[in-house]
Amino acid sequence: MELSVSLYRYNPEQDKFPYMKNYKVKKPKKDIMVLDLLNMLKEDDVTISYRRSCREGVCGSDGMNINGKNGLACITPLSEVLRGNKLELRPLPGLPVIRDLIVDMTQFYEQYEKIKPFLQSDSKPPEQERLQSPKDRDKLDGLYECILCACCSTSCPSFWWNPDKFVGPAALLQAYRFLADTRDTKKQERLEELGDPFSVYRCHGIMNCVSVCPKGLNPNKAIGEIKSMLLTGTKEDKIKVVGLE
Amino acid sequence: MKGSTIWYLQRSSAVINLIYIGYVFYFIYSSELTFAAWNNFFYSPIMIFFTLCFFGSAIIHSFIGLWTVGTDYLTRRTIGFLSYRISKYADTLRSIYTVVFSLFGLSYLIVSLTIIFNNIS
Ligand code: SF4
Ligand code: SF4
Ligand code: FES
Repeated sequence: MELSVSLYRYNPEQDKFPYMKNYKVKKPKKDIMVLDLLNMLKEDDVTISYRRSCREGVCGSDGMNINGKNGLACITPLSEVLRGNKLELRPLPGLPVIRDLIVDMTQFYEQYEKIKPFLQSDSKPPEQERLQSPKDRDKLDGLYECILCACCSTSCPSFWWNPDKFVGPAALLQAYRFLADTRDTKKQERLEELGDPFSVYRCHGIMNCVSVCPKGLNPNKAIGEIKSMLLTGTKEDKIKVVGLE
Repeated sequence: MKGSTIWYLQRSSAVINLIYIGYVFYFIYSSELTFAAWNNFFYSPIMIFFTLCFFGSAIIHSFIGLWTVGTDYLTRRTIGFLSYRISKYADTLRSIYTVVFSLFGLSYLIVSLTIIFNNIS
């Protein structure tokens, strides 16, 4: 049986516009990942371009739009996404395309940079490391696991419309990761940075981010926690565990 | 304005409107509706106060909602998804849109104040 793969192609040096190119491949006997299929296609057509590195859902580089839903090609089995032996692969939506499935992630990283993704503390650095009780450490579960694949932010309409003003689910999940960290002493400053009408409040709770995250994280819940901190203050006891649940 | 202030305004105006509409419907269905009864009800001082609150919050609520829609969909970027040519005029389009719905809000306010205060005197 044959698979019909429709691939988004664009090489700015040759093509005036992007276009969809069709490929036919023999359906593999066993269930393979979308990335394996791309590698098979690339053996025949070396011009096909995409990012990948770890091939096991750790590096976050092969996020793409697979039959209409964002995901990591390397951990998405064909059996899960095929629709009548058809597969459509497109770059992550909303970001500028550099070539084929490769997008320019600058806007995404700029938002990440904005939230200062590092621990800030007023106290003197200890000789070895800043310790934390296991209970406090548990508060970071469901937050620290993010691999910055951008599947969530590029599936979020609010991020499509205002990628320069709305921080987006991925960076907001990380913002909450530091707001929830008991060792961080810059909560007030962090919240002030996020207090404008766009950074956090443009999240309309559409929940696309939750449905696509390949790590099963819940950015929407973290955004809800940030909103309630902004609305009611930062008291330590208000910081809850988001968790995977 | 801070995001939280807008958030509170949007929610509280919705609650005020809901209570008001509920109250008016309750009145309509719970008693026999004659012109005199309606007139007494509508022009009682407490009801005038509530009606003013209602119109005020309806205007605030719709202003915030429409402003959000405008800054989501009437931007260079969003219109650019449909047409690059039109997207160049996005800022002008959004300004016209803002002026139009602000004028609607203003006329709404004038009409509502006229209805209330013209009939009192
Ligand atoms: S819940 Fe918020 S952040 Fe997530 S997709 Fe929806 S609007 Fe975007
Ligand atoms: S939250 Fe999930 S989808 Fe978003 S960047 Fe992190 S791992 Fe990827
Ligand atoms: S190749 Fe690393 S996450 Fe897919």
